[in-house]
Amino acid sequence: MNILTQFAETVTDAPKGDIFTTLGIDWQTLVLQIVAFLLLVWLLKKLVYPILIKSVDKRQEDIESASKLADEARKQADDTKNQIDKLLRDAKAQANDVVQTAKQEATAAIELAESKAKKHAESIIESAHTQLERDVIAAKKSLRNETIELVALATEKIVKNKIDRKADENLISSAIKDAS
Amino acid sequence: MAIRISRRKLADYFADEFVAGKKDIHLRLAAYLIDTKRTRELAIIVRDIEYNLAMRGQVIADVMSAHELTTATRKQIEALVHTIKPKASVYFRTAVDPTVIGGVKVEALEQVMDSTVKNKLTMLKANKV
Repeated sequence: MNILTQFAETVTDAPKGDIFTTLGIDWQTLVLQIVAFLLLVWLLKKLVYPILIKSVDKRQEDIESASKLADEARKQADDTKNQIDKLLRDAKAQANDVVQTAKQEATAAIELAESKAKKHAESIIESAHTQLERDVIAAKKSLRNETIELVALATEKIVKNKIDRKADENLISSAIKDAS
Repeated sequence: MAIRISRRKLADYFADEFVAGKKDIHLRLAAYLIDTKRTRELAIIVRDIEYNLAMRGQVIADVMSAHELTTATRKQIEALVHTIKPKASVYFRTAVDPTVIGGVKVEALEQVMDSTVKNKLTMLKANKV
C-alpha cells in the first residue's frame, strides 16, 4: 500500500517532459530489476529447468514406453485372439470332419453288416433248399428200393405157387425163342 | 512114375478119346491125376476137355431148371446151341433146383443164357439205387 501511494505521489510530483519520469520509472531500479530478472532466469535455467525437463522427459519416456507396451500387449492380445479364433475354426472344422467321417464309417459299417447278413441269410436258405432236395431224393430212392424189394418178394411168393411144370415149359420156350 | 503131360495135351488126348467113343475115359483121367498128384487141376482140365470137344462139334450144355426138362425143351435148347455152333452134337448136364422157381439157365460154348425167375428177381433187386 505504501508503494502504490508513493508511486502515485511520484507521478503527481514528477516534472513534465520526461516520459520515464512521467511514468514514474526509475532507470536504476529498472536496470536493477532487469539484472535481477536475468539472474533469476539464469539461475532457473541452470538449477531448476534441467531437473524439471529431465523429470518431464522421463515422464514422457515412461508414458511412451507404457504406451508402447500397451500397444504391444494389445497387438499380442489381438494376435492371440486371432490365433484362438483360428484354432477354434480349425477345431470346429476338424470336429465336423470327424463327425462326417464317423457318420460315413457308421453308414458303411451298417451297409456292410446288412450285406453280410443278407448273404448269410441267402446262404442259409440255399443250404436249406439243397438239403431239402437231397432229403427228397434220398426219400425217393429209399421208397423206390423198398418198393422194388416188396415187389420182388411178392412176385416170388406168388409165382412160386403158380408155376407148374406146364407153365414152366412155356416160360422156357418163350425165353429160348427170345434168345434165338 | 507117370510122365508129366501138359494140360493142353491132356485135354486134346481125352477129347479125342471121347470123340472116338472110348470107355472109362473118366477113370483113366482120374487115375492119371492121382498118380501125378494133379487132382487140383481137375476142374480146369475138365473145362479144357469140354472146350476141345466143343471145337470137335461135341457141345456140353449145363442146364439148370426148376423141373425136369421135357423132350421138347431139350430140342429147343439144342436148336439154341446150333445157332452158335451149327451141326454140333449137344450133350446135356442137367440140374433141377426148385429155388430158381421157373425158367432155365443154359451154359454152353462159354456163353450163358439165364432166364430163370430167380435171376430176374435178383436183377430186379439189383436195380435198386
